[in-house]
Amino acid sequence: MEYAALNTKIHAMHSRFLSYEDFEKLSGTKSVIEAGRHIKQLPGYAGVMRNLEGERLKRARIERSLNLSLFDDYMRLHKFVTGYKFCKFLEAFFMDNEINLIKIILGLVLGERTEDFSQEELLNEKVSAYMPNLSKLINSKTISGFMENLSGTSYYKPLMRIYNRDATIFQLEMQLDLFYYMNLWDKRKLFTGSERRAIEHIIGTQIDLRNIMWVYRFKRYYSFTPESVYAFLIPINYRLKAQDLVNLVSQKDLENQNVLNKVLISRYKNIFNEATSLESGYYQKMESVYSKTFNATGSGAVFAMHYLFLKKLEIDNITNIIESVRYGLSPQECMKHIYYPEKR
Amino acid sequence: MIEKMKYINLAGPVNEIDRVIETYISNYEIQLEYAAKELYNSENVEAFTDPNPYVRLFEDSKNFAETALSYSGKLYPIQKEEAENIITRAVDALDTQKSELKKFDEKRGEWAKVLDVISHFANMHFNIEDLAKFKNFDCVFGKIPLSGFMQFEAYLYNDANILFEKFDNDGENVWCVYFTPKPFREKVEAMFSSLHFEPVDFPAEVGGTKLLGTPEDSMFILRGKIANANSKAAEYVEDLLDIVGVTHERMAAACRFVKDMYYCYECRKYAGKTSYGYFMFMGWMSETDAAKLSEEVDKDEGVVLILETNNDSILSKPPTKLKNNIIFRPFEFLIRMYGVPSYGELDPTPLVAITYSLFFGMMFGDVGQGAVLSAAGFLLYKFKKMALGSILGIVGISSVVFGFLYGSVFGFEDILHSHIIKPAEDIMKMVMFSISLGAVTILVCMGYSIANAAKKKQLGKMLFGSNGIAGMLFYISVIACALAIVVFKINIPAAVIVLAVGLPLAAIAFKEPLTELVTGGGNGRKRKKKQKSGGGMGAFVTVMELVEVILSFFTNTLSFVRIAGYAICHAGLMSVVMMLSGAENGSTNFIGIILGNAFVMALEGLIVFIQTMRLQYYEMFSRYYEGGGKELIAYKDIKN
Repeated sequence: MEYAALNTKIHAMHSRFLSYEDFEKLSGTKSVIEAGRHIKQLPGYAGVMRNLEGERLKRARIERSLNLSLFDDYMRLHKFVTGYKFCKFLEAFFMDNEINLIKIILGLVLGERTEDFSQEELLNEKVSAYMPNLSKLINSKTISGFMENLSGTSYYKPLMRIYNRDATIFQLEMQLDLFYYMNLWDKRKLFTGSERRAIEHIIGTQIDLRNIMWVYRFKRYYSFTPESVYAFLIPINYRLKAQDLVNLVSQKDLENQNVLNKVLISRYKNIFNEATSLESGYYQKMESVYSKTFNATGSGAVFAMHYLFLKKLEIDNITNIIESVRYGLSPQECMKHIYYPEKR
Repeated sequence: MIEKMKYINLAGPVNEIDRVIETYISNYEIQLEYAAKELYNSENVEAFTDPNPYVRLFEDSKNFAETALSYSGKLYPIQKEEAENIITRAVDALDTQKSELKKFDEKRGEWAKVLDVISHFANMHFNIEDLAKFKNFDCVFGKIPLSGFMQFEAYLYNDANILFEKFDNDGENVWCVYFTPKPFREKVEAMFSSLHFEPVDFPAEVGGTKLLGTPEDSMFILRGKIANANSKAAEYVEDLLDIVGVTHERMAAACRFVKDMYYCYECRKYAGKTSYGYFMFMGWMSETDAAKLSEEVDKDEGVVLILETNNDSILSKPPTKLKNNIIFRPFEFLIRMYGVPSYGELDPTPLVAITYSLFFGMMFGDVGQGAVLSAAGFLLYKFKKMALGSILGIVGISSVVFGFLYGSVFGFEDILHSHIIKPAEDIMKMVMFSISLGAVTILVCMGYSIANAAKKKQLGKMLFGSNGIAGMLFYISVIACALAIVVFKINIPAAVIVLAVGLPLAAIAFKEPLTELVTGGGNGRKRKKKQKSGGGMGAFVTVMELVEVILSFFTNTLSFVRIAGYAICHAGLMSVVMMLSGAENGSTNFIGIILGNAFVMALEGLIVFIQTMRLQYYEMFSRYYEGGGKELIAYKDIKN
């Protein structure tokens, strides 16, 4: 019963998710601007897209605005969260979005990623309410000023640890991700009994999958040497044996899906098959973990996590469609690039 | 006895923190722990990071520390402004007049930095130079941030090309060393540097002195150099007070004030600050002290003391504080030399004290020489504060007691007309008695070991360990059978012998499966994976271990023969002295007797002292002592 109000709220918010038909309509648009206008009419995103008109309806901007809607939803949920422990946990769970924002700002401060970007875009009222020190952070002139403005937050310590050792921006970003997962893993201890096991299962699976995906990306797209990959792995192993991951790192040829499957002899064997991309494999597995654990426990915490997960999935899907539209793919092609769970 | 420890939380509003440090932390024996480290991952608590405003002043005042210490009169209170004024003026005078002092300062700072780095490796007992000399291996010392260490531990700990050893964890970094075969050096190095590992160099020499040997040796050299520089600097300061025109008393008061304030601020580093404006100190103190403190704090409205009831949930390990009566206390020195017992262990001091005195007395039984040793020992303790001295004093007394039993005074066997036993004449009796004493001692040690295992809830070790109940049964059965057959000539059926000796042995051999059986083996995931060894190899290892267990019982028992041996040897040596000085022909040469006695006392005293120590460390400690504890270091002691 402790989650009654929250559950009702989430059920109501579920109604704003896009239907499969909505996605089909979106994929039928002819240009990014048209797609953007279409998204602006959707109830879930009207608010965050309000300021984007005509010229400003560009892919990168739409994407960023969509992401900001996550903060909007989170703040709505947060009002209905009761209990100190649950509150703390959800904060830790949602932190990755905050981290994404910090990464964007870090790029801005270092001037490495200018693109077409305006600060006002980030200073959305909802986000500012969530992160009071946001404007101070954006206005940092130098990296050391940026670090100073971060002091007092929980990111300061882990970042400072490597900032003093001439870390690159990439290393700083990865350190934030590491911190997110280690902190989240630790926060599972706030729960007890079956709820804790359920949450452990979700986070543990997510961490295992993240590790696999990171190794895959680092080796395939960034061609990292095996030695340098370890610095970016989360030092937590749930059901994926550390040795399997080490084997994956030391593998020469990752192009071949069979190699990937052979190396991963654990329970994540068939997640990454040829039919789906890495991302949709991840979403598929996580979706099944979420639904199963929620059905088994009925935990409100899991329900809230699931909602935020679905929201992120939806944003990813929309982004993928816009991308496809930009490259002029046919509606059928577009729909191949999204993963839409059968049943909500 | 090892004192029971309590984990305490001392909390109050931030503006009270100085008062709390002054009234409680500086007066009670509390080992503070870093609150930020204890509450790892708690976002609401952060460390006090404000810089210490007295750092500069305190550093300056160190120039005058010796001068200040030499003042023994009463100190009158002093205000911050005056203290600051005095010290700055004195330092200015120093700067202008004695630029040489700066050189000392720089050197001292440099050495202190090196010392700080090396001290993280203090418990490595290898010669640093030797480690660098490997032909096929490279060894790299350094520090790695905690997150990197966790990644290393998760993924690379089993890497065949890396041998890794961690020495110290200061809450931010793990200080460590890794070894790698030379051909892999580049790869391994790249891997470590991506984990933000930072190598450290140990300088080969400081200020013209070579740093040799283990880190501890280097630390010793460095401390010596720093102390040397300090005293040289103090010489320059001696006549400075006159130049500045400050009285000795004011200088001492200023120095003490600055020191107090400096440590008051330093102490804050241990505290945690909550977002609601409260501070929190955490640490360990003995139960009795904690009760006293609790009573005092109860009267204090602003401050709260929380005594933790369950130590299991605490991150840091409880420290060890030994507490013994005045007779046993000196022997704590011998135990510290071997390593401080861990918190959950039985304090071995009483056992060491009793057996040490007993063995020493038996080996060195002489009324006169014992009395001299005892007197010399106590004098050494009184004037030189040597811990060894008080031990010598106590064992000397034991030696006097045995001297009466043996009837021997300075080698004269006929002054005392009564004696119980003459070692040189009843050799067989002495030998049998020593061995029996050894057997009893070993049994007592095993009793300690069982009690220790029981206290630590190590059921397997307690029941099936070679020093557990199984080992004890085995030992008792062997002794009983031997006694029955050899001494009492009773015929025991072979089956009984096999059963009585074989069963405990079998229990020791199958310790691991039996332990799993007893503990249920249920929580499978929590248990560490045992190393699997193949059937043949495993059986071989088990057999070898059994042979080792049996042999060690045998040799350890026989080893106690040395007690009889040295008692006889003592008598023999003294009779040689007597013969050479002509006491047997009636024309006694007293100079010869004195010289002979002195020689025997020095030589035998040393040997017996060492042999007794060997019995303690090797025959006895190996049976029951675990060690690995850390002594309680109270904050107020750090300060002084």
